[in-house]
Amino acid sequence: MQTDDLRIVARKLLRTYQVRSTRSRNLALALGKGQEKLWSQGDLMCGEGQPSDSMFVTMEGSVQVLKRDTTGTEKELAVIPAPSMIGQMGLVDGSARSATCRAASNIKGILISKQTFNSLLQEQSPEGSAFRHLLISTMMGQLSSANEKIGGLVDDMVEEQTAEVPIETNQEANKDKLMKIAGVLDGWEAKEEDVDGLESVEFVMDEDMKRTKDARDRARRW
Amino acid sequence: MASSSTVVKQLQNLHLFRNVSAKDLTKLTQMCQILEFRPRQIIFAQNAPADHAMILVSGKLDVCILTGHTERHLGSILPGEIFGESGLFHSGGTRSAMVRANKDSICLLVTPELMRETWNNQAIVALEQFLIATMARRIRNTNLEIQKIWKVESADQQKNEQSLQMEESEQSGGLLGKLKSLFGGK
Repeated sequence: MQTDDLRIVARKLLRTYQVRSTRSRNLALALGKGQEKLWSQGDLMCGEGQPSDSMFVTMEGSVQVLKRDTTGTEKELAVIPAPSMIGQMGLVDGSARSATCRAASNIKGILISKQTFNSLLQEQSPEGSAFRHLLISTMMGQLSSANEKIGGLVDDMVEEQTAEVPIETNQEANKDKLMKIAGVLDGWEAKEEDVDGLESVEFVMDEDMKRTKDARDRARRW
Repeated sequence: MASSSTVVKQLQNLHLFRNVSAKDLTKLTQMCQILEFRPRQIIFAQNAPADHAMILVSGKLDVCILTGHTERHLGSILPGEIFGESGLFHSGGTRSAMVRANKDSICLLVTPELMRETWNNQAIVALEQFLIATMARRIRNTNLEIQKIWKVESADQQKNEQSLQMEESEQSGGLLGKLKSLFGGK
């Protein structure tokens, strides 16, 4: 893989996941330890319930995330554009794949095996540190986003219950929202940031981060 | 004032740093500010800017939320725990709760700069691994609770469709009650 390509992806990842504590060149070194992989539109990347033996970083293209509901019907949770991290949660805690991922378009990405992942988690190196910071930041984002969505759902339901004019409760919609919150906790959430215009910035600056956060906060409201 | 060597000894006793050499822990205490707090002293004020984290070395801290004039105790922080960690990785955030010393306590102040620049110290690696494990546990626990609520809600809905809705809804506390309970509410 070209170092310059990895650097661009690393910068975008740092902005998308709002990591301010590491440098893109170190994250690019970490990504360079993975293997380049191509998927064609429609390819199965991983299946719900399968063992987690690798994670992916998408560089180009989009991933469709599907999950079965309690009746066994497969529902779309999100379509996640590049760059994104896919399947890292299973490697962190040893759980099975929580959803099915299909290539929504042709995808260029990086496959990081369980062995490389574990080595990066333990490595006393700039790339190990960068990778760990990305992971921590991603998980913090998952938790805070899910918390906000639960808060939003509770607010909606309180409003339904206390409204002077009765609002029809839509149990099916609430169940779908809960399913999506569970998906957010697993990392299945599309990030809305437009980072294409920021490629020339050398390092993640706080002002950039703040703008990105503001945009994300606005987009999060249901 | 606690000396660096005393703090190193206390750090060595923490599970978090069980595999870290005394040399790296000494370096850590030289790079981090050591802060001491008296009982009831506020360490983080609610809604204050979040721009650093702390590791509790000794003592005990209380975590509280203020809503109007009411203070609600959310939990305690014990030695070996890191708190305020969102300030290390995300900028522009604020403290969601107040942290106050319950008894004489010693903390190490951890800044984003320290995390960014110090990759060659096993104590920092241990700290990062601890955070990853903590986040993963929180995510899994919350996810399990959500899935439980979701499944119960689906079962409730099926029963509701069989004309048992009022009775069952009361028995299970309703979706709203279950979601609120995720945050420790009733």
